[in-house]
Amino acid sequence: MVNGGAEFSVMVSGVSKSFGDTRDEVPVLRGVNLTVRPGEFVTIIGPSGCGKSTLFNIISGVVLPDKGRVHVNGEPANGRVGLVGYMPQKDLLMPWRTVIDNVILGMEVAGVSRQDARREALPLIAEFGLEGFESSYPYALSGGMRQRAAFLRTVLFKKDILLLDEPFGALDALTRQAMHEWLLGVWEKLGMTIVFVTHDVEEATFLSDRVYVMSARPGQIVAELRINLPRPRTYDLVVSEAFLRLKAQLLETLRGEGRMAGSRAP
Amino acid sequence: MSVQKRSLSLGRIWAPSAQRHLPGILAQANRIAFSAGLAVLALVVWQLVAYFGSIPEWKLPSLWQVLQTLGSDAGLIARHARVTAYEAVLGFTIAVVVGLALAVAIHQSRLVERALYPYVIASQAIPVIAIAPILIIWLGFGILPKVIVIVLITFFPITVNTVDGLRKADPDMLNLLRTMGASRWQVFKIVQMPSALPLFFSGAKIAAAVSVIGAFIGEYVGASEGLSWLIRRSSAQFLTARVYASVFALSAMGIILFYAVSYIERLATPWTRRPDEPVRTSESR
Repeated sequence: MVNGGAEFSVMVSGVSKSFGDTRDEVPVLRGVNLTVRPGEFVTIIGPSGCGKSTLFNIISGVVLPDKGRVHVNGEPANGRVGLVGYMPQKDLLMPWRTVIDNVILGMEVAGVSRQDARREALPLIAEFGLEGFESSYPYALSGGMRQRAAFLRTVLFKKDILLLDEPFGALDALTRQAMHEWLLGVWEKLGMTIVFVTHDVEEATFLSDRVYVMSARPGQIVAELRINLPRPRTYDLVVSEAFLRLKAQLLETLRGEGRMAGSRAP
Repeated sequence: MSVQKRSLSLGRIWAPSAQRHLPGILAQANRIAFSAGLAVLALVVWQLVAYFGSIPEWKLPSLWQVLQTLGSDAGLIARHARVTAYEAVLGFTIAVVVGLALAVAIHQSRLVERALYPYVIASQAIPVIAIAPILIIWLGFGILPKVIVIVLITFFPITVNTVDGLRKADPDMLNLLRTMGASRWQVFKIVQMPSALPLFFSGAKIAAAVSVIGAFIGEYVGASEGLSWLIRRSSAQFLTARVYASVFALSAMGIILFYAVSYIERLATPWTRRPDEPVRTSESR
């Protein structure tokens, strides 16, 4: 195993974070605990603004938690960047770089020469449905292609743990479904660990092995749900009884959380 | 300042025409015809006023006389234009180097920003015409004081635009690079520098056009050659047609410099040149 035999790829224990100064403090995360096993697909679901992106920033090391610890592959990772691959909500393809030069960004930062990086990326271009576009600029790509390019950039950073922050939020429903099946295919083939953030119940149910439900701000983990659906999954699954039951259960938890959040509001 | 100047009709015409459609060409021709028509109209009015207005030639030579002078004095004008062009290009080039270095220093260091930025702005409040004679006294009649005047005038738009461009870099992109563990230099090279390029070129285009004015001022105060000197000499001798011809040459120089920079901009920022074709998709795959 790439992670050196640690039991958890990602372990977040008791992480809290507030923003703003002491007088005007906004708590964003409160005592968040979660674990992700190697090769697992784990989703964090919660209402908008519940601190999911902050949690990802803490795991990826660009933001320090006020309290708590992050371990990546068994090693302390508070404030340590470059241990995980991070795919943000926006595709963030650089308009001045061709598709191939965009996807090799992580390798380039790691010090690989552009030539070598391109040679390594080229075979994956086709697998990610981008063949013929490697020397195009991002403006020539459709929404789905942009997300695939952004995902390939994350994969080519070559970390076995990927954090995906609502990567398909901006896509239309049909493209989204296609991307879900495609993502699961790539995940099963390449065997990485994925931590996924979304506020879409169906997306969470369809993709994940396990789902953590987060409360409204300050974000806390309020429930954990195991998705015992067979793999490989295709979209026929979403009308099956087992799927609908899990989806309903997840929705119920989430709505309970929404009511609680509503009643807490001043 | 707009990042993509779509209205540069000349630049558009130079672009490879592979994907261009016929209506596009017609629209292009239309735009150029309009701008050229305006110029022709002005020239005709000038010619008519000069011809029928019984204004003495030393006050307002006719267009035809100016063109004749441009032809008969071509060698003389070209010799002096070469001097002025050399000063302008040299001054502009130094301004690009100095302006860029200043912009990067101001952007990278809070300290430099606080220490230098006020002076950068103050340098533009000083009338260059006032200090040009001082420069001549200090540095003599050579090319150096002229180049300094040009640099003083032209570094400013380059620095200010480039600083703004560097600051405009997408914070999410900076964050992405930070998650990858990129060094400060890598962040600069990969995100900030390319983000600043369009605005840098906006500044450089202004600087290119203005560099000719800088050369003119520098020469005007003390020179023994150059278009500015020629204009002074000719006006003292009431060779008004030659003054006009020299002014023509001077403005032509400014236009050429401007479009030369525009052309370099097009080569350096190919991603801003979107073809007029619909986005292709491969979603069906």
